[in-house]
Amino acid sequence: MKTQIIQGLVKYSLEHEKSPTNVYQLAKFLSITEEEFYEYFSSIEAVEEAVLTQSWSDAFHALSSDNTFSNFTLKEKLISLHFGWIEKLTAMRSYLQWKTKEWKNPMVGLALLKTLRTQVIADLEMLFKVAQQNGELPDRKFLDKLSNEAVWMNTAFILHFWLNDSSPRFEKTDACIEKSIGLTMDLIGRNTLDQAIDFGKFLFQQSK
Amino acid sequence: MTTPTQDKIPTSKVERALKLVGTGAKIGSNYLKYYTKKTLSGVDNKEELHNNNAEDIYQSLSQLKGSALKVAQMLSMDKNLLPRAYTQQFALSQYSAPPMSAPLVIRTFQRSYGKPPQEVFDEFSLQSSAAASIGQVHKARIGERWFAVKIQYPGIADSIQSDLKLVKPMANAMFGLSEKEMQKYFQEVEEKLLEETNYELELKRSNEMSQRCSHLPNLVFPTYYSEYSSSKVLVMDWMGGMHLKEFLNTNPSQEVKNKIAQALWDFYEFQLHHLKAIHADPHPGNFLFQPDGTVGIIDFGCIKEVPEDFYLHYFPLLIPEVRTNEKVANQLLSNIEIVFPADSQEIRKELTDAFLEMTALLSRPFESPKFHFTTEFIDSIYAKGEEIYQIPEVKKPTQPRGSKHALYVNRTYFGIYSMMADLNAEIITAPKEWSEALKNHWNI
Repeated sequence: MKTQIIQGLVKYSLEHEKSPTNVYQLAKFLSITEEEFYEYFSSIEAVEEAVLTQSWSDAFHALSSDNTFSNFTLKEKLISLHFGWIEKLTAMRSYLQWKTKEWKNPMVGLALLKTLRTQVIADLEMLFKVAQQNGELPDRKFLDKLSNEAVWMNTAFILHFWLNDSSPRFEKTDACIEKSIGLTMDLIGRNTLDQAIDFGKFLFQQSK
Repeated sequence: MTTPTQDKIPTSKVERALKLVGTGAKIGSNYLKYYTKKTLSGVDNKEELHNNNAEDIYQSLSQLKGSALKVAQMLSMDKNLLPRAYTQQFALSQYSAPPMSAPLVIRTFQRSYGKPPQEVFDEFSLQSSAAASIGQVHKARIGERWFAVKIQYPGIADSIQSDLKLVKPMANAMFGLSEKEMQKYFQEVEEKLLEETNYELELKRSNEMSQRCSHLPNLVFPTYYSEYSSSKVLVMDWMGGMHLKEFLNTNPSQEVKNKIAQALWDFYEFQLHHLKAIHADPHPGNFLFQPDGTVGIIDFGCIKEVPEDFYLHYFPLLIPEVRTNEKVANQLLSNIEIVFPADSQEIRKELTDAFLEMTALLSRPFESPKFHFTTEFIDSIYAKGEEIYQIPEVKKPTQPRGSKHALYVNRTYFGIYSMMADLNAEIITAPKEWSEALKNHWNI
């Protein structure tokens, strides 16, 4: 039902070239009652936010149930995840392009992405935990939040890139995902920073 | 020599541009060092200069992927234009480029075939077994049969043009010509590079060429499978065998080496003089040497079609009687754009002499029934190249010289010559029916 409501909103918006102004309109369009609508969402805005979030979660669950996925490294997992997500979004590309025209006012964009951000960061924390357990990712205590944030910014960047991508089959987005995640992983994975911190600790201990 | 590992691939165009600008600056300072040293000590250590330059150029090129790597490969093959130090550094770039991630491999395959590789093949290795400059190769299996699946980096065709733009200033500086003058050469390279990204074309050509060359002994061509292939994915039989260096490390007998060299030589003679189209990417990764003295030939992505007019004017110069016939020789040289009507008498003579001497050296294998390719022979070609490079009109040309068609033909033949020398091959270079045909054409 949740998916149906989201798809209904997308269809309504594209056909009317405007978002439904109240829940009644959307419920009528979907031939459901308002009560049924409120079982799943609290407002039209919540549905709009769910367009991005739901497709992310769908991609995440689809991959989690895939056997190959669990054997991937963190970098490979993140790349597949973004591939999967963009794939899911492709069905709603016209809607997103229309909707994001409003993003020229940045506050509108931020509001739309807010729930997506919460969802992405929650899922990333899970992936990062696994990676830290198997030693792929260093445990940097307080800095871990920064890593989440870095990947989230990467995700937002990919979305933006894809919306503007006009290459056939969006193959440039594929390259963008591969390269940007590669770079982000180099930044948050084991790198010079850990060596520096380790060396700093050593020097600090000597000075005691 | 160990291959330096790279920590990070420069991604954006800006970043890549910075990389190359950095190289330019470094080369400049190498020249400065060289001239200062030369002035102070009076010793002309050109070798050191070339080494320093090659090192710097390679360091930055090896961090680029895709077509910049391809240009590096191209330069590394065109040994007549580049002193040895450059070629050694560039030769490194012929093997490894950083690999695509497993998810991207799956995605690219799925995009082109509609199914992930695991569903098409019984076994599909996500680890690439070799890197081509514009893609990578994966080993796969259906039943008892092994396949090589070549997968192209996404978006590579688009990045070629922007990459070439980045390489242009550097190449211009290396040859001392303006961008406008270099245009026709770059156009040729760009066309060929774009062709290489078209796997459908490659499949068609591979089938054609391997069919037409199938009668030649000791050559093995893989079968290509159009049913699994697309513009981004090319599936062929898996070929065993070793690259040249690995092969030589196994200490094969001279007999086996000669057998392979002969097969390669005949292969190229047949292509050039009968098909008038050659496999123009003779870098060591495209030849798979087998212990039994046969050789597998892959990658027909780069085919140079030799235009009839160019063929009739370029190859006669390999015949001594043509070179000594002043009238015909002059006609040939101006047709292939070595000399121009506007040239002064001295320049004309200097260039004609230099070019004919070089050709005389290069055509030695064609002038006896048998020829032994030694390192000394290759060295003498380098030395001659270095000597010609001292001619002011060659060092700082007032206009571009040489047909654009010669670019890939030369590159191919230098590739073959150096492979022959690496094999220390002694082969039969007769019969040469083409030589009689060309003599007849020019009434000599």
